Amino acid sequence: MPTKEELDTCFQAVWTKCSDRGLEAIRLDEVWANYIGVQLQGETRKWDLYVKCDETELKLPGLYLRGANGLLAHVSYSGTVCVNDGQGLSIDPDRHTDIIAYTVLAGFDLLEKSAVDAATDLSEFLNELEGYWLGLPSSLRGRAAFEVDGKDRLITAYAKNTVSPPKWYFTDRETPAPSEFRLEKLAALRALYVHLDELPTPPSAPDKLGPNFIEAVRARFTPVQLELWSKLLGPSKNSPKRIALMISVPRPAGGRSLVGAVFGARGGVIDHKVEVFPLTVRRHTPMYMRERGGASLELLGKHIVVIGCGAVGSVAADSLAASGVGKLTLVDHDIYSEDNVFRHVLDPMWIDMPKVLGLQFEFHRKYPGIRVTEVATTAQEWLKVANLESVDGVVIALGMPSLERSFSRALRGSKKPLPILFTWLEALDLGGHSVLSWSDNEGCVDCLYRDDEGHPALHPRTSFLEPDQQVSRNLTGCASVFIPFGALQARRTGLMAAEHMLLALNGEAKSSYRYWVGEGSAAAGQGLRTTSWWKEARDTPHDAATLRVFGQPCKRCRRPS
Amino acid sequence: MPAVQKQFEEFHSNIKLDEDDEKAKLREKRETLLKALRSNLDDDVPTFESFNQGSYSMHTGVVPLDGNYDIDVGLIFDCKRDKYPDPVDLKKEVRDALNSNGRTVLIRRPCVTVNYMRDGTPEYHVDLAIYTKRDDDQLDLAKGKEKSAENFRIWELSDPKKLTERINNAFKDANQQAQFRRCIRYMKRWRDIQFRNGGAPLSIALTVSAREWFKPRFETSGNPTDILALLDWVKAMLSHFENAYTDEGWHMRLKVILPVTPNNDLMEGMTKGQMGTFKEKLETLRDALSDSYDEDLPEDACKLLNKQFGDDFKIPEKTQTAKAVAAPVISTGNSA
Repeated sequence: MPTKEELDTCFQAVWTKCSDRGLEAIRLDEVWANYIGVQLQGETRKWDLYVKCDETELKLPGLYLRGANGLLAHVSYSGTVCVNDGQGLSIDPDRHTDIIAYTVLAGFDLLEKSAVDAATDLSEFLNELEGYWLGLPSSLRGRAAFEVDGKDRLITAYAKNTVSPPKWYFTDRETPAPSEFRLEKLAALRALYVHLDELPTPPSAPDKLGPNFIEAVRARFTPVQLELWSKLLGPSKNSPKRIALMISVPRPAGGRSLVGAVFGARGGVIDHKVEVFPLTVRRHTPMYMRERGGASLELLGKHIVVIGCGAVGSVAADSLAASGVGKLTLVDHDIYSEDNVFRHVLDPMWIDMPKVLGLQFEFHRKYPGIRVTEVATTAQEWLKVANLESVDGVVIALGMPSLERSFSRALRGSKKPLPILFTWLEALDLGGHSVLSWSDNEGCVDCLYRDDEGHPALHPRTSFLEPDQQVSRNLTGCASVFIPFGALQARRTGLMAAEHMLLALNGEAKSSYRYWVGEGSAAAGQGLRTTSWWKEARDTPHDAATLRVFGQPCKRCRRPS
Repeated sequence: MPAVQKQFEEFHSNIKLDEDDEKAKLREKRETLLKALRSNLDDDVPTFESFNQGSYSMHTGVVPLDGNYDIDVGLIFDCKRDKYPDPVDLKKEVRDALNSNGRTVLIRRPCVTVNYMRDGTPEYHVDLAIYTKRDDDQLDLAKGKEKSAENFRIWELSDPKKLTERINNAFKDANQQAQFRRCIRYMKRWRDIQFRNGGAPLSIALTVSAREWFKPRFETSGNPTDILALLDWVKAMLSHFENAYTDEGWHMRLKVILPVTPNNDLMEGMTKGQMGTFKEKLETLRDALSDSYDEDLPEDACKLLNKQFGDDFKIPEKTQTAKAVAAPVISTGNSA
């Protein structure tokens, strides 16, 4: 608890800093313990500010504006002034009084801007509408799983009254709620979502949200919205008693604000005797979660095929999904087994099931809005029936050189220019590769399978390992032989491959080669011999490496001059 | 080592002319010349320092086809150009000091050339470039012949040492610099073979064009691929031909600008006809390089290259290049 002297010191600091700015800080009577009151004269208004002086957490002290000030951007209904969005603040904890003075002045500057905003079009206030709504008295919270897309429609609501205050949940009609909502046996209620160009003026203290507001909203309805409204309220005899209305309005900074209200109805009209509760919701929609989570909305319309969903392929698919790719086709005939668990994306519960089935299930859960097609056949089987017209890119993670080359040739026949990415890693901790080629351009995976003279070779130029060495191992006999490597190598390679494919989707139209080089100590420990390329690759820039591995276009991809 | 690269490197050994390869006779001649100059110059002629320029200093020398070896020596006289308002006067001093039996000294526009004759034909020649000093680090080069009109007798700002430095420092990596020099030598020999009847681009133009457009080519194995580096360079040169206007009208020309003062176009001496021929021959070279890279058998590849580069580019015997038949299956250690 700060003593009187401590509070005085705080005020002194504020007074000094304000004086430096040419502002006179007048001390106001204490209203709350731990707060000092400061009055500052702005351009058009006097601001009565109260700042907290015993802030112990490493954030800015709370700042409050007293009095009835109307609607002001960044000021809540109860007067909290939101000085700073608090993201990434770096505070000097030893300069306590300076921080208080800083906060008061920052608040003053903010309020001056908000005053101008209030006198003009309130656009900055409207940017913060949802935040303001949340601070209205008796405000309720909820979660909404319907897309806030501006399309007026009846929706379904669920009210969880077992908690206090009650929580509301919204979904589209005829659409099951996400299992995370845990709605169990709640009854489905009728609700309405409308989009308006402009909201009636929200209440400012001391006024509250009331039935008149709902009437005012209704007065702005288009005929279509009025029709929906009448469906919502239903015939007068069976009119529901409690209605939820969700309204979106354009947000000047972009997107839409979504606010709502729960009100009473009687005999098919608004019941003015029932309290109205403001309602704000957390958006539980694929679009919101994608944007908020950094996934690209532009990739939503892309379709990538991943051939080979082993350790590397599954990471590549998972990374592409998390980046926002909207459609994936996963091709792999393999069944998940105990052998795969520690270096694969899938949970062990998928053992004895097709890998692609597990991935489809997990991606549908983890990445709302994604569509995954699982193809549990060999890649060759898939190719026979594949419709490449609908595909935007192919990732091939087979780890089988001859099959990869044969796919490269087959896919070059695609009518649509297609980025085809081959990714694989080498044993232990040597490193991994990602080769991007285009079906209609020079530079293909066959270019890699040539010696220095340009003659065919079975050993790719990219190899870190000299060929024909004993690399594979088995723990129980040659029926379960494997190339040793771990989860980190698989993740690094898969991630690199996904990033490489994203480059192609974002416009890089030429063939290119990416790789990572590992420490190699495990390989050295095994006595494995590496190539000169493994030693040089570390210090070679990407474009020089690309030139070296592709060289002159080979017979398969050379364009006739 | 891969077969074609091996042939290229053998070709390089056959054609290169370095200080080590410099015929003892030539070295002897140069020293004798400088000694004679020192003792025979008139007393009122200032002293001079000498330095090597041209292909010797840039390590790009090739053995001449006709055996008429040449060496470029720069002489920097210890005075300013004002001592000799007519640069040809200084050249005359040099010529007069050297004229004697066995030597034929000619004043040419950029140099004073000393020809050593045997049975009436030139056996060696030394090109002496005459320079005077300046206040800045550059030099003034004496230009003009005895019969030149006054406006062709000039002192021209020059920076020969800077050029040498630029060429010698084209690439930091020693292997890349070595490939750069090899390719310049290949091109010079190609020029000598293809332009026996004249109209050839100057050596300095070829060298500077390499500095501009040559990019090294190495494989992931670390081995150099001279044929591809050469091909890229030839393609780059061809892509820089553009329409230009001279007294002969509009036609395609390649400009190679000297990267040091006086920054002139080193190809300006070539006529329209000569430029056209040069371009055609470059295109033929490009096609030959590309086709030979595609040849399955080294001997077939080398036949094409021999046609372009002459007989110092040897065609290997079939038995020499026969590769061990490669195994149809290998294990790579790849996985995904």
